[in-house]
Amino acid sequence: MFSSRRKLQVTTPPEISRRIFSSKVAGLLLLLVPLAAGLISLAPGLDPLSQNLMHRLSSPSLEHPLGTDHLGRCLLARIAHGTYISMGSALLIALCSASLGALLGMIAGYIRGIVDMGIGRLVDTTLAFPGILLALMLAGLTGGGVLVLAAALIITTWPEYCRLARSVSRTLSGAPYVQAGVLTGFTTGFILRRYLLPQVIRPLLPLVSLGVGKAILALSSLGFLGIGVTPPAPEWGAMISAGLPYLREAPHLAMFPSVLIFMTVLGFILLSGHFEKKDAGFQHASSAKSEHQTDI
Amino acid sequence: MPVFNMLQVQNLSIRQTYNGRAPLVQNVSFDLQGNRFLTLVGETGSGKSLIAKALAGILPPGLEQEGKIKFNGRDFYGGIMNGAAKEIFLMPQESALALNPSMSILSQVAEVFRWPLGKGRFQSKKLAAKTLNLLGLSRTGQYPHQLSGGMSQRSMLAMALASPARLVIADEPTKGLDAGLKDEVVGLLAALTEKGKTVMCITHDFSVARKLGGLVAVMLNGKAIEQGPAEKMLSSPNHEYTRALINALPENGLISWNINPAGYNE
Repeated sequence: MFSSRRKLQVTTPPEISRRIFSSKVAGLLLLLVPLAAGLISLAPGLDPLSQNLMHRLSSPSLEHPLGTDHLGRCLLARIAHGTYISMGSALLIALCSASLGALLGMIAGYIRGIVDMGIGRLVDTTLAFPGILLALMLAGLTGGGVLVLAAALIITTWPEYCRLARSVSRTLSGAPYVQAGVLTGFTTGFILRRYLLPQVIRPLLPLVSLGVGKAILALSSLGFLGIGVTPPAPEWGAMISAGLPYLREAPHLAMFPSVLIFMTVLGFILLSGHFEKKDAGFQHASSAKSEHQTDI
Repeated sequence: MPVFNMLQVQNLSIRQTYNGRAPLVQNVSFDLQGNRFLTLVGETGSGKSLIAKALAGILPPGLEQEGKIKFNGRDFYGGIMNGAAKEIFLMPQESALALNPSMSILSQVAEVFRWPLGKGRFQSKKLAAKTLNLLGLSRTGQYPHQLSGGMSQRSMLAMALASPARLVIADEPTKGLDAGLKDEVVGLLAALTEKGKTVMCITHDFSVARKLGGLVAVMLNGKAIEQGPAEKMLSSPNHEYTRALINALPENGLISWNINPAGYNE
């Protein structure tokens, strides 16, 4: 029975294709594109800001592989340099809000009591507040900028991570090994760092990966609305909105950044699916092990 | 080693807070001298583990304790807040689940060295490796899921050795182990006293009590029905239940007996 199953796995074409097109491989392949764009920006001679009004709205050519925009700026250079702003700040936002959420959630779930109540109310309040609205308000108050948008998105997205981290660490705080650690006399900080954090990170990973995708979309929507990044700087969402008036003569202006956003977000979502599967597998394996051990 | 009273428990009772039912542990008293053994023997639900939890100060919510616990002659109210960790090391049931799954056993034991004594990172690693080697664990980089039952029991014992606590409470240390491993763990517990620890062992297996020697207290339905040195109890048990437990030892052969706890009067 077992050997025939193994044979099947190795030989049948569906199995092979399932492995090749697993969410991990697909996600990583898709993420190669924005990575390549980031690397291309390091090439000399690619200036996202230099204008050439003689060659505005030109189609893709050898000189400008993705064509030029309405001011004659090289689209490839703009997309490549935009990687840092769009994807870089999205990564920053996801990591910052995940760290903040994980820290507060772990403290709330482990210490409980009034700390848990306080953090819980903070989470509820933040969840009730629409993120885009806060970003609009902050941008209006301060004049915009990537950092302001990032701050607004961090403030509105950390509760998701916090709630997950809280529930995981709340469950774990009753686990025999955590109790044993407390009885051995380890400090709360040490228990949080070495006992709870490794277990909290695993279920958080898919959420972080998904969060990067969401942050790219949020940044792009805000860029499309015209707040956030100040105009000459390249940002994918802002590039789409700048290309909209020329959709008939030069569809590539809006198309290329859209495709890149789509690929990047899809890549992160697929990666998140991979992490989710791994976490489920780990939980299955660990619960099977503990069942086996308590069964004796 | 000088003889001194390490632990005195007087009239310890544990009851449920909000109902008037009979206490789960009723007026248990015992004295434990330094560097000696005490074995609590009793069946499941007789309140053995509750006593250990009361001593460590981790009674589950909804339970309250009465009575006096003296540690080294001083009143002792268990609990982490009162520094129980410096005095008592509790080896929980199922040591495989009591080890941190995300740390190698070497670093777990090393952390016990690091925490109270403030030893350096490298020194504590070295000491931990030495302790683990002493207990026959040479592959110290392993993680708990790679260990067998006996190996995780031994890593737990290494942590007990490393900790500054002088009283080690082992809750069912032989649970789920085969006969050979059981002997080994009992031998290791005996070795703990040579290192200056006092051992309180909780078990349902009278053979563990016999191998450890020292004091034995037999628990039945929350009461300590009989106490005394192991040899004396083996040769002349007073209580019917104790007699039944001793008769149940495998080397005493197959004797028809009835071990229904409801049928015994205290």
